[in-house]
Amino acid sequence: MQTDNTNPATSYTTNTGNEYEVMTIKINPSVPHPVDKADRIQTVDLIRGFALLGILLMNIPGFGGVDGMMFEKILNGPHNTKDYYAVETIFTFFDGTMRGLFSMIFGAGMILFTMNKKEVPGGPSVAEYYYRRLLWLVAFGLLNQYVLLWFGDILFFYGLMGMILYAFRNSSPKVLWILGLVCMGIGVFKGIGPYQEQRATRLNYVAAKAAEKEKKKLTPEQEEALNAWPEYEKNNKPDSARSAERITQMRGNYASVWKQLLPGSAGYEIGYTYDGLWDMLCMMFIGMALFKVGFFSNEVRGSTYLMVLLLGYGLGITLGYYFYKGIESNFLRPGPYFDAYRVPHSVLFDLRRLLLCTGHASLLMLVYRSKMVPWLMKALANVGQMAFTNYLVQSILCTLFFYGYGFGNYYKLSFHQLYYVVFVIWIVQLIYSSIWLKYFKFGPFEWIWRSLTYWKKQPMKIANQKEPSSGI
Amino acid sequence: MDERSIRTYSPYYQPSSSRIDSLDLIKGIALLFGLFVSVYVWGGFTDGLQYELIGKSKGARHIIYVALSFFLEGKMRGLISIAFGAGMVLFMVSPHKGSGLSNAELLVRRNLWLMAFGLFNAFIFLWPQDILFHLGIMGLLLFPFCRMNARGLMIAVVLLILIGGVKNYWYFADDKHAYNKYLVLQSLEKKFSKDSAARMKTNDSTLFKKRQAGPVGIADSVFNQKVADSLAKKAGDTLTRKQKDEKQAWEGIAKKYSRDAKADSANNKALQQNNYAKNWNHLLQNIKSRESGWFYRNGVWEFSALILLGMLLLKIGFFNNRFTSSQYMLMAFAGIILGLACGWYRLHFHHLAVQNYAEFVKSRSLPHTVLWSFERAFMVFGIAAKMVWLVQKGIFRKLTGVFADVGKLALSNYLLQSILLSVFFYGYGMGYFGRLSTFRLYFLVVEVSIIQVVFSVLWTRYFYYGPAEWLLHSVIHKRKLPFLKRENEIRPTLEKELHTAI
Repeated sequence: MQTDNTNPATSYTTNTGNEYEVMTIKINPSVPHPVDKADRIQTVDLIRGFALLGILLMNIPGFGGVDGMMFEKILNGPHNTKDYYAVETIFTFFDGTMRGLFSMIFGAGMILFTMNKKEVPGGPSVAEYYYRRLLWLVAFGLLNQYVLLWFGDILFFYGLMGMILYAFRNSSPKVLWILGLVCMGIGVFKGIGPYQEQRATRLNYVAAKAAEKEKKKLTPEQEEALNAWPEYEKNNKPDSARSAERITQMRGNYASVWKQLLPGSAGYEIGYTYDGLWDMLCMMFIGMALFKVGFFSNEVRGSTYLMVLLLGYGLGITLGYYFYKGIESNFLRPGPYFDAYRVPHSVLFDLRRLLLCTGHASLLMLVYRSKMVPWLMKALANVGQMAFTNYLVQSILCTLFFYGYGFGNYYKLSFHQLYYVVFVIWIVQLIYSSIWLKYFKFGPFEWIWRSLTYWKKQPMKIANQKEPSSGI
Repeated sequence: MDERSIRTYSPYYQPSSSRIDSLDLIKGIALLFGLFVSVYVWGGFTDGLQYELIGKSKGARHIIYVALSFFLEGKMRGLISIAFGAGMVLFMVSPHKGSGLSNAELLVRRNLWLMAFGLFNAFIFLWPQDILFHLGIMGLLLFPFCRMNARGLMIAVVLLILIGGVKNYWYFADDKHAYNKYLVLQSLEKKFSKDSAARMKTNDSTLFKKRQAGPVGIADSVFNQKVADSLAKKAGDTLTRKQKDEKQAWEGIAKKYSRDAKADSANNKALQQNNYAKNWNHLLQNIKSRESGWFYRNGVWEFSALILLGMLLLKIGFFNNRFTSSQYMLMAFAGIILGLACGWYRLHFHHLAVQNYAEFVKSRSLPHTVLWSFERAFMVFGIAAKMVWLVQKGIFRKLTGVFADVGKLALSNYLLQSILLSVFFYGYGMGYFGRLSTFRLYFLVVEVSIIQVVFSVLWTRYFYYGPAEWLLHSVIHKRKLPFLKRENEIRPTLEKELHTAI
């Protein structure tokens, strides 16, 4: 690794030279620009690797079977347990941010992919390769969802979203920022609607209750309202019978797990595509904008990164904690929560996510520049370079570890114990990614994906020089 | 496909030629005739009412309904799909001068804008079954197939048609599964009630005795039932919650093909309300589920099979007189006959299913919908062959010319239909929703068709593009396109134009 020309130490030196002259460089596909290509890819891969490992933090509760029952137990219990701290930390720091960072890098990767390709006269255009690649990504997403049985797959959606992004690849950072913020606004707005409906149920109930106390004659609507709220509460309470049924099914054989997951999977793919796309699009657009000003390619001044870090973490963590406390009380005591808040804490989700995402990324860039842990940076970049493989390997390892047809540890670990599994998988992935990339140009699934895209077996073994990949 | 033949097709950036294009004809036919079946949805002739018609076996309404179902239901959308698929390939190979954007770029932009137009059509004009949104998505998804060779496309089309059949079989198998569970639960419940009756006789608990002193009445039987239930619960003799859910699941499915008159009239009332916001709110769920769930489960397979068929047909020169007129005639004959055969299967068994779905599920191993994807493909292929034959032969030129004009303005006409019918049926306009019988609905469609024909014929005389087409192409190319035809290009008279055509 040390002799490799993409060594972070080497690139760091070249970069400091530029650091004070180049503030922002617009990356324009038609104009070759001066930044060292290998360096740029390295930092994008680094962030991608970080996000890829981080995404497991948010996915592991799903694999492990954590449900409302378990959350209720942890949150209602004493607050000095490891489980409680784990819940608090995960939801304050990471909820949605890893997915967000991953979306940002996906947007950046889209620009990279279309930039790196030259049009060949008479041959398929870049757009055709790009769309082929995405169609295969959608297919891999379906495979991950319905065959590997990871019921929270994102590849399917990323494939679809990428098809929308293409038309915006030449847009200016300003336009991309606007698009991102508009998408974010739509997402927030769409979240408020259902909340207001639920809140109305509660408020009508409270009003009817008050009228009842005063011995007033109730209107039929009020009578209805008296029933509607308890009904809502009952439906939203974690259901132990369903939970038990689910656990039995998930500890069964492949067919029983498959059957258990099928209805949810279809609903998830439909709902998240149609209603949840703003979640992805907003981060993708912002990611494209940030990439274009050089934020992910180590082209921004150190002081800027520092400022973003301070702002991102400073505001983001505060908001994050406030957000977490909000959703906690919403979950545990929906009634009083509805009485107290006109607008739910969840409207903060995207803003805090954006702050934390950029904070995470700035921290990484600063560590990268500081040369403190070059081996770790390199290892993370390796994980990022074969992100597609690593994402699918996470599905394979986790389903085999937790589901009944594998080791059947579903719902057997407590919340904080799940994170021991995460650490083990991280280490495994950091190690094999570095070893694999010593001998091969891309990860195994990247190779399959690439070969399918070009409909031709691609060379995989490393010859002389490493070719940078553009990742997911 | 040779360069020259491509150029003659190119619909953009060329003064519209006087030649009748078979694709335009297909689009025009699909647009005008498609309304005969989509008017059921527009006018509130609900599924339940349609099932009642299917369940009948005679009467003019039944016969007309069935005839339209054979030739139009799903097929006109299919014709649009094949024209769309062929159009995608043409778009990729046609020269698009002026904007400096590549064809691929323009095609991507076109599909994104089509999605936007579709959302507009669905959410503003309130047409729940809009297809522009779906076509836009399909255009993006299937974009890589533009370059696929005919053999690959052929395989893809066959696979997609098969998937359509398998999926419909699968849904039926789910119903069957639910029914079998229900049967088990039913016998279990019978056993429970027998046991319970036995307990009632032998049980001499104080509970029963207490009541026996008083007069015997309804209160008693209710009380006894309660006691019996609690005893049954103690003995573990009641259905679990899961079993109750399963029982209800089938009871829901069993009503699939029966009309819910209450729901229908509530629906009518809601859409007749004189308030756009209320109409909008009421339709919102329909629109969303059509655009998301339906599309994911069925739509994507239905559209993709025929869009790829369109690409395939274009590539083998089907729309470009590759075959002789007797060959086209043969293709049309074969396609329509096979389509009718599959259609007969569907309608015959649907007729049985509607009459008693439980019986149907019990006795049949295949659903009536299993050949649906085949039926559509055959019928659409047959009709398309017939259209190309008409153009090639040059008979009924006046008529085909008129339809082709409608087809040239397909997008505008499609949106115009939405505007007219939305205002006519919903409460914010004239509020005729749910008030017209089938005959009146068909009559209305004829009226709308007349408006569209006149509009199209006149419009194409003076303008390059239809209004919606002009808007679409202007936003795609990011600049205002020429709109009005120059003086010397205006066709002197329609008749003369048609005589010099071809």
